[in-house]
Amino acid sequence: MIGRHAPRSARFFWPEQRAQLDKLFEAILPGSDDSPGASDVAAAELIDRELAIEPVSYHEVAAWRALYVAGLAALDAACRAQAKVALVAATPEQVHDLLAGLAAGTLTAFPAGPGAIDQKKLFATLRAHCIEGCFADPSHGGNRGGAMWRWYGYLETSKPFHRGGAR
Amino acid sequence: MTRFDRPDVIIVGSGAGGGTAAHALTARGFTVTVLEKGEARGAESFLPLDELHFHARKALIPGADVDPQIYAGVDGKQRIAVERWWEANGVGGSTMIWDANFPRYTREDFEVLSVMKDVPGDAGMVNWPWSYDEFQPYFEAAEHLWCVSGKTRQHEHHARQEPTRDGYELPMPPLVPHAHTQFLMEAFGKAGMMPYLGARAINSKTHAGRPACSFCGYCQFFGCPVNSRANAVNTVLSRALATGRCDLRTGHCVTRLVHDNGKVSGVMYKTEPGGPEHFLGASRVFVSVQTVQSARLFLLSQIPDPNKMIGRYLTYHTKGTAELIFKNQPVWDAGPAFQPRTAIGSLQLRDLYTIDDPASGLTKGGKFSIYDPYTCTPPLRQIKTASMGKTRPNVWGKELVDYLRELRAHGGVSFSFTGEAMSLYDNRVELDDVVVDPWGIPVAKTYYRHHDYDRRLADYALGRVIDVMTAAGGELRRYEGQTEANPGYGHVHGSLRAGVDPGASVLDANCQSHTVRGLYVLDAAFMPTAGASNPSLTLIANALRVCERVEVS
Repeated sequence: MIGRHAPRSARFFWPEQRAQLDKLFEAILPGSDDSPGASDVAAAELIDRELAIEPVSYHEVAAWRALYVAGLAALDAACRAQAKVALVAATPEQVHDLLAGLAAGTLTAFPAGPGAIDQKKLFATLRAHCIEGCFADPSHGGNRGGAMWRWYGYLETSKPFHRGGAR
Repeated sequence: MTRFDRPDVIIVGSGAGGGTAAHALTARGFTVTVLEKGEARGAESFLPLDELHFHARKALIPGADVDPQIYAGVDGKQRIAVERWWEANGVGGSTMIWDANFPRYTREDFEVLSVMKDVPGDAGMVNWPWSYDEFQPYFEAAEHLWCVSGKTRQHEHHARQEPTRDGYELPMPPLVPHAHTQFLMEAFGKAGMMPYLGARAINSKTHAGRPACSFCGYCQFFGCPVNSRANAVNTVLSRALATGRCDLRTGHCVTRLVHDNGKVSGVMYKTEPGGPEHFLGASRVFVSVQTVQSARLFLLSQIPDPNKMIGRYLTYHTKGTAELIFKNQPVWDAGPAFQPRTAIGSLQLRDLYTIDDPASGLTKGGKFSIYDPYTCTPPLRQIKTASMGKTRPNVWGKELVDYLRELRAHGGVSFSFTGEAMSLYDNRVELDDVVVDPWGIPVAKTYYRHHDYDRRLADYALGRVIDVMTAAGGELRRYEGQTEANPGYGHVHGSLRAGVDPGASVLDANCQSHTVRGLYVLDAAFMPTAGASNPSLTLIANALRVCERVEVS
């Protein structure tokens, strides 16, 4: 399954890919009742939109597209091999373990040889894009409603966060 | 044909050095034509203030895909295409996006051999051919021309701040001190160290027709949205243009320097990639296009180099970063007051500029800029480096949440070290034999490895401030010493060394080529050694010094 940037669309990922990415991002910056996580602010929305922009807005976009398409498929396969469950159905603990292996470059059920994916590079890309999706200007799609800035205290005094409740 | 088609002086590059020269030379009555490869950027080019666009996606510097620098790695055998962080092609150059941190180089930098008792055998350290005292009048002129805020002699015993002439003062008082200033002053005071408020080319009050800093929070890699930060356009280029003796031509890429029989006669340039080369003639050409690019232009132009010195002794400052959190302190910016944001108002620490500790095996050190990580750095840049100790860099998951919780609740501090770097002959600029830039010209290839001295220096200096901060209740979070590799990020100097011995330098003591008369270099490429402070002020002072000595033909 490739990304759907062709034909043109406002988003790059297919729904299943986006669900996988949401899972991974939430594991990178998990939320709780009193602190927002990646899912609370739709962090993956930023890179989902950025990868869809044609012509590409930044020179690394083409490489990121390829890395995500291959990387998400590989992570899903690794999750099925390691936790016996699809990535989208994995528990937070299972996703955490998967990412810990990726960060250390020790996932075994991962493409090797020609077409190999650099596990540490994939992890670093996921982490950087998760942080961007959480803390960049909301205009780019992530950091929904500026909720992460409000809790962190960027450009204003930090405010408490209450998941699902009034802020 | 106008007088600018045969000017007295051609200036290549419109940044700190080129802009300053345009002002200094037009003030003396010379006509100058400034050739700038990039475009003029107005306020709309810098807005909206968006960290993703300007910092994370590096919108204002050339892309590594189409216009890179090639780094050969520590073994000299790699081909790593890297971005040129401090080469913001455009009118004003990198002064449009800098932090405007404006310390002086001091005697310890000019006379490094009198300070260093332990120069490694493979290092080519040399004294500069000028003294600090000779530079003092030009430092003073540069500080006023570029509108610097700060305060001289902040301590009764002020030897650790840059020395200044009795009765001399900067044109503006310091920016509002950061909220952690008193806490840090007391903590360092207990250790016998004395931080001080740093000099910045940022308005602390309305000055020269520009407003005071509004503490908006966007400095490095952003244009200043209120024009309170000095740049080449709002200081020197505007003055040069107002004389009627300066013509600023954008979109003019100089492809080579033209010389014959040991004299410069002009430059060849293009106005569009793939277009024809044109000639512009002058009996003097001043090059100021950033260290690596100036060396590249010398190599492209086949400037005679009988002693194989062009491109050699390239230096990047030794760097290091440490960040700590004080769980015994509330966040400095607790509100409702809104404290100064970004690098402005930061403390500087020069107590380790020289090192008197025989056990260290080090004698020449460097300085620190001290920041509050929470309010001095925009969030993407800050949080991407989130660490929970020396062995826990780039944390994620629960550790990242813990890091964020600490940062928004407790006072923190971060130290950015700028240190001396050993000059090595093999650290150099060459022309790449594969990659060309969009104008069809071979790009620069750098060979660079930091000497073991640099790496030990960064660890030693960081260790000293970490000890002081730990005694005050701090816990170490982020730690980055100096790596052996340097792909190209940081203050860069050398490669076209100035000196009095034509056998050991490329430029003479007035920064004119030993082998091509009339050809001058004004960016940091002239610096014989790295020194240990942010280089812009010293580069600007040197430009004023050189231009004062240019003879009327």
